[in-house]
Amino acid sequence: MRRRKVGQHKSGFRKQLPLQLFVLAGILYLSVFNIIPMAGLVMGFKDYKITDGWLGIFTAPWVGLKFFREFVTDFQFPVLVRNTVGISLCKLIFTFPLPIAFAVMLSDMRRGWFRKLTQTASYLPHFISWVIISGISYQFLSSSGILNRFLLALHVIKKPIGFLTDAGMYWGLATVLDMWKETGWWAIVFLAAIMGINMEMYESAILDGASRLQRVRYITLPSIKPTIVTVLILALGNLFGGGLGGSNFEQSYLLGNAMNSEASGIIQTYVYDVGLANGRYAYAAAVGMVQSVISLIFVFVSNAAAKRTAGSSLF
Amino acid sequence: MRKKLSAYFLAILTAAALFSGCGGVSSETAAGAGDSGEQATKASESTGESGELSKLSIFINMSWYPVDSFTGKIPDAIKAATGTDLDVTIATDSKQLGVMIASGELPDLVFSDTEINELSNSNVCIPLDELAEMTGVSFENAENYDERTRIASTLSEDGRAYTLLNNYNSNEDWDKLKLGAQGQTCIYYRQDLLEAAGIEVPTNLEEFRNCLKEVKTAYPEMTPLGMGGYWKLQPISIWTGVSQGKYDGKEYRYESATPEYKSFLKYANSLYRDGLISAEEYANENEEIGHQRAYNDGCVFYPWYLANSNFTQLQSNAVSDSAKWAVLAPLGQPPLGDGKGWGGLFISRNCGDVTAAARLFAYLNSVEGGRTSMWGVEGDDWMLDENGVPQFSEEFLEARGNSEVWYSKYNTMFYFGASAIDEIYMNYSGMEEDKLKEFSAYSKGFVNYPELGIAKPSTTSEEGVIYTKLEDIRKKYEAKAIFSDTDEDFESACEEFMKALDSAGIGTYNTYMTEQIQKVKQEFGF
Repeated sequence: MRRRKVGQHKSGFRKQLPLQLFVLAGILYLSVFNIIPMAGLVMGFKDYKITDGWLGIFTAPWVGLKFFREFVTDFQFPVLVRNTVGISLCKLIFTFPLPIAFAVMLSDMRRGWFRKLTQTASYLPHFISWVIISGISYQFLSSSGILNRFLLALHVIKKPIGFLTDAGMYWGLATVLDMWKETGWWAIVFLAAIMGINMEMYESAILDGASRLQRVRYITLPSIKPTIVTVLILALGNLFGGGLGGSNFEQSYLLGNAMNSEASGIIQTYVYDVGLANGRYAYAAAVGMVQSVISLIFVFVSNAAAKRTAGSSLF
Repeated sequence: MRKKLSAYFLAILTAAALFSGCGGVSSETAAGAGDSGEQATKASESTGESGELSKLSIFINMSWYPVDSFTGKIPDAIKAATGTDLDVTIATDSKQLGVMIASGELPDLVFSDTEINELSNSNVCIPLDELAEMTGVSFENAENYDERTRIASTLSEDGRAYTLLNNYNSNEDWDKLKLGAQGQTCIYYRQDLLEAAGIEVPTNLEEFRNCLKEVKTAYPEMTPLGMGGYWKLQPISIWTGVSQGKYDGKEYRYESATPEYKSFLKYANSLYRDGLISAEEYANENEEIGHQRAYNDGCVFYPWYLANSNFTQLQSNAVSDSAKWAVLAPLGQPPLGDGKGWGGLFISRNCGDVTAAARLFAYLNSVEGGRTSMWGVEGDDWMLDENGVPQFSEEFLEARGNSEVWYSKYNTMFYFGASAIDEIYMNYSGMEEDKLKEFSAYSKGFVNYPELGIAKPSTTSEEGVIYTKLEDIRKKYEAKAIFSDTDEDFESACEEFMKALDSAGIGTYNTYMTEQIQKVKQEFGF
């Protein structure tokens, strides 16, 4: 094996210095805002009071698993976990395949203004904040909103549908809004992967008489499998945060209300209400940690499963 | 070479941009909405020695506050009396203050009605005894000083008073009330619409239900009983006796476990099943949306807080020229008061000019300061009559009838030490007789038990945690019961409700409160 001399290594690093500086900025950012604050997780095991200031995180007395026990015995625990897992799985099942299908369809469109327009229009909702979307939802979906008025005028329904107040509708509403908002944006990732497929494979397939669907099934999807697996692992890692959209908290906070709380209340809104509203930061830290640990387990399990089944993994 | 330099420049710019959000103590801008990482202003300039005003920064922990500056006739009078000006920051949501306390980034002053236990801590704010010692300013001229100090001392772990809660009066003071009514919830209604449809004004809850049905027939486009934000069905809850049911002078019961509460739920459920209230309006937490519906002919009856300012707001913002709002007379039992005071002005440990802060605190809590903050300038805006009731000038009364002029010209929102009776007289003195009669009807039968408020546990104590859970359960199951479509669903929701209350520790809470109330009664001599 050829060994590099020290001088050679140094000159290689010097050549990359500007790029390394960019990476360093990113590492510093992660360290300051993601890694160092993890020391504060110890708060979940302590009887921390906000009046002790930030140093109190380290000097407060230990209470062990007291807050974890309190959370799992809380009357809301089963409902919160059910809603968190349920909403997350619904989003995973419906919002994960949709960008792939949309990217495949886009790639099959003829290049031109219509394709560009479709692609642009599809990812624009990604830039609209959930606050605006909840306002739009209210205008469209309230009992006096546009959709209900339309359906009443056509005599499709006899009384308005409680899209925003019916607990049975909330999971569907959250999933559909997430699909609308994020499909176009994540399709970009898959579209980029599809663009990287060798066109000769398609030409050969056409010559062999493969139909469009067969080309998608035997060429497109297998070729972008690594991308699909990577995105899937990332989505699973953020499953409880809302998967690809990362939208669970915003949706539940903005669209949740007293009427649909049985379906909209999730662990994150509970942490927000309990921790910040009632000043129980230590308890909120413990509850948040429960969710983070489960998410971490998901990441490792899905990574291992992907390695075994698909031969491709994130790490 | 140029490429390299550009790359270096971009890399440094990127790093600077990534860290540009890091907090600065000397920042002049207020914390943003929902962004709990940012910190509030600490702009304190002490220039008292040269005769100029001392400027203190203040954080008002109420996102609904209608003003955001210390300007107007009343603030000018306060500035003249104390030599102090205020740089005001209003909370954008209810979660900000906790983060500010935890990060130690409080401005000079804080006015809040929540997190009072957290603010009553020597790491966070200066206790009044220490403040008096540091500055030589005495607070003993404060109205009801002894009682208010003792109440404030129950809010801290070390037994010291860190503030004096405003909006407090003793029962002896209440006995001398000449007009108006104590602060409570009520229902306003469109008198013109009832008259036009020939519908009689109800005088009890049964008549109210029938009246709502008639309203629904006469005005199918409007919601008979509108709702918005915080108040929802509170007046009905009080009138069915829920408030009275929780304390009989000896034993305390959390209100959701009383028989009166189930009667309220049943009544409210009947309103829903008759199509008289809307689930969507009930779910709306934004008070402004509810107000807008009321202004825009969206409802005939509207629950809100009993105050002349709210009434004038409904009247002056109504889109219909013919709109005539009135106050519905109470339809049932009066509320049970638990007033120990409401909000407190705190001087934080970060205060840059404690002398100016102490001067301002002493003035606003004095009889003179309390009256100025609510009534304006004596001699110019008001004079006391032989009954001790202020008689206001025409200019004052005219401004009171227009909320925009009221807040910009007078600005009565710096009532940090004013008593409840000061506020009542501000609201009602000089009002037309028939209107005054409508409002004053709400004072009949009102009894105040300050021990109920004083005995409440701090939010972070074990009993306080139980109370928070009970309130969460109430919010969740109350909606479920009220908006049940069948009797079976209603009974099932009520049963689940009671089971949840039991599992949360309602027995422990009731026992704790009963014991604490007796202790407070003995200690305070109530």
